[in-house]
Amino acid sequence: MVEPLLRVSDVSKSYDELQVLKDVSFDLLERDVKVIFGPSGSGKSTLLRCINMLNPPDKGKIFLRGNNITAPKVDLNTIRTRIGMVFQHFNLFAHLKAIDNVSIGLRRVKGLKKQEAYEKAFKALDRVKLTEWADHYPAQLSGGQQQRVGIARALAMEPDLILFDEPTSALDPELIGEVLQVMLDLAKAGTTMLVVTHEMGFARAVASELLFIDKGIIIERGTPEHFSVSPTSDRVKQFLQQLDVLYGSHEKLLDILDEEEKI
Amino acid sequence: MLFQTDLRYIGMGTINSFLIFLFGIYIIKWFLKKKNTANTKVWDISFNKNIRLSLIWLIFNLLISVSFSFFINNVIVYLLTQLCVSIVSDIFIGAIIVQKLFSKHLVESFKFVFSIQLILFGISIILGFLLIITFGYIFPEISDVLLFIIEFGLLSTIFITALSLIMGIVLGLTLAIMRLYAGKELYWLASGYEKLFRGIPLLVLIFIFSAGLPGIFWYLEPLDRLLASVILALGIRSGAYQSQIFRGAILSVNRGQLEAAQSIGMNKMQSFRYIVLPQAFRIAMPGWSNEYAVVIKDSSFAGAIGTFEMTLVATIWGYRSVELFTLSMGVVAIVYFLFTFPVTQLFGQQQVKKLKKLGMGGG
Ligand SMILES: Nc1ncnc2c1ncn2[C@@H]1O[C@H](COP(=O)(O)OP(=O)(O)OP(=O)(O)O)[C@@H](O)[C@H]1O
Ligand SMILES: [Mg+2]
Repeated sequence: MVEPLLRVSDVSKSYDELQVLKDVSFDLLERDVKVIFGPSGSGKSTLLRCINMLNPPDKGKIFLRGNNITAPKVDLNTIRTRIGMVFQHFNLFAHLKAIDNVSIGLRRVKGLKKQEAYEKAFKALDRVKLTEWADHYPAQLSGGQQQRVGIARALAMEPDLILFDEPTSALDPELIGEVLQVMLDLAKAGTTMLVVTHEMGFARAVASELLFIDKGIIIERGTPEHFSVSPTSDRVKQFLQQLDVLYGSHEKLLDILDEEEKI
Repeated sequence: MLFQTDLRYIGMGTINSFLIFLFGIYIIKWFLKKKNTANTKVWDISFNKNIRLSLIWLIFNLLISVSFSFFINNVIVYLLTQLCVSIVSDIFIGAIIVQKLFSKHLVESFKFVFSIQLILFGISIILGFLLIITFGYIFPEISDVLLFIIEFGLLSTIFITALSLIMGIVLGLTLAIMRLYAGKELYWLASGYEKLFRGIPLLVLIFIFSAGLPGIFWYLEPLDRLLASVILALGIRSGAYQSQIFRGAILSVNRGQLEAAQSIGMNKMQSFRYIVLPQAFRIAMPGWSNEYAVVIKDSSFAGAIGTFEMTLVATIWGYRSVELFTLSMGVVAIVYFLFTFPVTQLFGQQQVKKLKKLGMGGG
């Protein structure tokens, strides 16, 4: 059996009285893409933040390439260089140009020389198609461009996997496509990704498995086909219907992207 | 005497250099604007470079004007030499700027700058002589007071202000960090400090450190003791205010950026050093320039215990007659204003605009 790149095992997390995650378990293989979705407040962000130990779980274990990262005395900073994170609100460093946003981790954390760090950062910007905007400050970029810088910042560290927390939900509809396209490219190039998103078109295109989470519990899991053809629980059916109303138009957009590639 | 040329003319030469600098900047700025109405990006970069180079160029000019005064004692010769040298250096550096910015041929850019400088040359000669005539012959009293204040008070005022501000930065930053990141005891200590020293009049603080606790600077000369206690009082009080400035600035760097820094593997120190602090300093700039204005003006309290600085010097000059007192107070007021306004303008207003452009500080 192949060892999973990431194993989440019985993770629970509470904030004071409120239990946000209850015994969540799943595996993620190398080069695999999984999508997590579910209603607001169901604990999706909390789960991602547990995985890179921004909020360590109360109970349960998380293994990265077989190493227990929830064990005490693990160097969390080193672990985090191996787990990229893309945020809903981009969280770019406002005082740094795009290229410096991407290269600062290479320089200050990995200790690369400026020249070398810039070369790598430039390659990362190239993968999100932003090399022309390298000298711009975040405030001078559109939301879609900012999010792509955020993706490049995670990519540049060459992590084992990248976590995406609703990367497109803060964007205007016309900017969502460019970010999803970049994410599709990454997935096809074999990047291991764990994505919280409601873009079902994206999920259908690249995800091997979807996890539906509600009130901190994984209620149902399965392939994209499973969810589009025969979801079992009523909660999921109801939620997917709501999504259709809200996101229907974006899916068409992704279908167009897909067809473009076929041609 | 240290200088061969009268101090007054060094002033003139310096003012000349400054005028040339200002005109040069504005002409190049105007030219750049005409060239790149469409391309704002090139404009931004080139303007920054331009300002930086021009500043070096100005400092160079000032050095020339002072160093010449050591060995030229004829006023006319001094002014002309000074003017010529600064013109030549201006043309040289200006040509390089233009060449670099527009990747033009050196000869072409040289011609461009040369023609601008020729016009400037005429203007600045006229201005120079106007200045000499105005202050040398029509209002000699004004230039006498001015020189007296500059000679005996300016350095001391700048010295007091600079040291107090530096002490205030160190104290303020430490207090801000204590209040934000340290444990309960240090938090109370810091906020107690702030409350205490914002509640005591500056003059009282100065009296406490100079006369009230005469022993604290036992190792200094008596006159230096007074100076030191003034700086201590100003610095301690400034620290109490700067702490608030820095605390607000640190808090206004949003949490998301800190999480992003952690997510690429930075530890607490690194994210503070590379993400929070650089932004906090920029956000603190407007408030800090305000604090500078307060400190430089309050340094005049030093005169109250007999430390030489601009206000005391101006008072001494004015004691001889009522008219002179009015005049010297007017002149010293203008000098304070000249040292305050440009700084608050540059670091306050301009910085606020810049911060807005970067979307920093919650603007
Ligand atoms: N730091 C915190 N302190 C207390 N409660 C928190 C904290 N962070 C999150 N919560 C609570 O935990 C629950 C789950 O939050 P989480 O952000 O993980 O949800 P989510 O699924 O990502 O929702 P959304 O789709 O709105 O982003 C929410 O009820 C939220 O109020
Ligand atoms: Mg969330």
